Amino acid sequence: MLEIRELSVTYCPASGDNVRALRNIRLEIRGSEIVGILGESGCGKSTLAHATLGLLPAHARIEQGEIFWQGRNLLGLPESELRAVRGRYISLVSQQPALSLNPVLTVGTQIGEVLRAHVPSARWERRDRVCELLGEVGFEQPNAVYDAYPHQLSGGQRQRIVIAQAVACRPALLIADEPTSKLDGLLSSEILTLLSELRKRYGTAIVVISHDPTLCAAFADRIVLMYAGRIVEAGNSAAVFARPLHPYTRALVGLMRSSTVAGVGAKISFPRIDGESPDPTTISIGCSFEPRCPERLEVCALRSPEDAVPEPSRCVSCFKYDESFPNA
Amino acid sequence: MSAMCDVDLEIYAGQTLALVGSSGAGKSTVARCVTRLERPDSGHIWLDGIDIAQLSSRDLLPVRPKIQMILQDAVTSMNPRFSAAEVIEEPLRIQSASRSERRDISAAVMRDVGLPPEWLKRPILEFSGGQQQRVAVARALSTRPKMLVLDEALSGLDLSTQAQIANLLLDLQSARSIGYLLISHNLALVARMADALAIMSNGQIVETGAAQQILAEPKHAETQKLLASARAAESRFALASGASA
Repeated sequence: MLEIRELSVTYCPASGDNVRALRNIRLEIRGSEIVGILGESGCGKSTLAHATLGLLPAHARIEQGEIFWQGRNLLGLPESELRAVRGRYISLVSQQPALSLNPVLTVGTQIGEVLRAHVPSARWERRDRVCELLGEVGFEQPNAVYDAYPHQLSGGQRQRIVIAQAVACRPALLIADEPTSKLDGLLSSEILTLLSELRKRYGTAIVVISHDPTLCAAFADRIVLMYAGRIVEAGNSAAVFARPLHPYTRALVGLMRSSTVAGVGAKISFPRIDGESPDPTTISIGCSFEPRCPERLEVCALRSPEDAVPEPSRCVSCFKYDESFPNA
Repeated sequence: MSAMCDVDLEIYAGQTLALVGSSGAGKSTVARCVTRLERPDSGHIWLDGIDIAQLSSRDLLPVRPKIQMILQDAVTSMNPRFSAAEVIEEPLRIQSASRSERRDISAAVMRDVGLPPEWLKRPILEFSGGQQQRVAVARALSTRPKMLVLDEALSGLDLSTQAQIANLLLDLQSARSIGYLLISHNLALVARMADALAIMSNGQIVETGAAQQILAEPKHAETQKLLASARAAESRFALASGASA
């Protein structure tokens, strides 16, 4: 359905160094699947979402690559044609619901705007349709909520409004960028349940972008792990979390297993991954995880690894799994 | 509207009290009263033998250094045009510290939080998310506080960064016996950082006591609900990762 080929994006700010945000990203999203894109902040996961929707800022430069949507390369499309796709077939739920809503318009009007932009309909029809959508995202009194302003709603409710906007035209693909990072535990699971229901009912494929492995493990069919602008591991979510292959994934899963409420018993320090992500303005010739990697080989600092496919529908970018490299 | 009522809490030097509750429970209102960003309608807030609850802003000036706050996304509370030095020295300037004093203190607190003092001149926006949070800790330490209010100060960070900042805070606490009021909805974090725990719901404290005891045997329905939700998320992960829950 969506296929990204060898996408590389660099930010070139007016002052300061260029930032290599994405490098050689290859990714395919199939109909009605949920894909979790997991990585630390600054790893490029939001850039990937914005590139797909044609929403990169002016100082971003697409170095290479293609994004195919139903046979057409979105990267070559003029803005007018892109606008017909965005919101209609591919839509975005952004990280901060408070910021993506207009404070001086009622939420009903704002959901209606999406319909008006893509589906010709009369005003009264739109109101009915918006109320239907408000019901779908879990509001018990859609008519009252229709006339509410964003500030009259709670954070969780505003996130539901943003989701109603995103699904208004029954898109084939929904991209949710950290949809629950500003919400507490109970509200997050409600929002995730809502998204899974929408997928089940309408077959919408969902890409969820998150730095939280728990969320991805519970919610996604497939996991893509990003580190410093690259995809380091991808595969079926159960397989990746049960048998993580890349040293970064292994460290992350180890961290998750030990950060639980039960069994701590005292005030003790936290396990962590030593070191920090590399500075994205510097160009390293080797693997970007090499400085932090406990299993590094000599070759890791010298060139970057190719994707290895150790088992069907699994890929990992690490020399340890590269068969053409006998010392691994 | 009353955001909280009859809240009784005690925080000891060198100890952490965690305040936990769902969104809208009134946790941040407690934080804003304790730091006297808001004046409570009634009641007392004793800090080192002084009741600060009704002090005027002039009388608060000598008290403010003793109690500092670190917020979620601390960088949004910093002037984006400032260098790290300007961010850290701002509270000292308000306290009319001399220039050389400010320079010595800012270099010292940078070292305390594990950042090289040479970075003081760098604009705050050039630091990574984790480093910005470290600068926020450094700014809070600059006035030698007796108490730190951590209002979701570790939320929204990557797991690894979160662990690094949490470890830093634990080390600083044991070295200087600072009292922490930790506001968080992350119980896994609370389990590792807190000595005492208070659960808040609808503006009231519904359960309080030793952290480990409450986590092991929650009595109030709200506490049980919060714990069940955290455990459910954990077991979903354990299930997905194939480990036995």
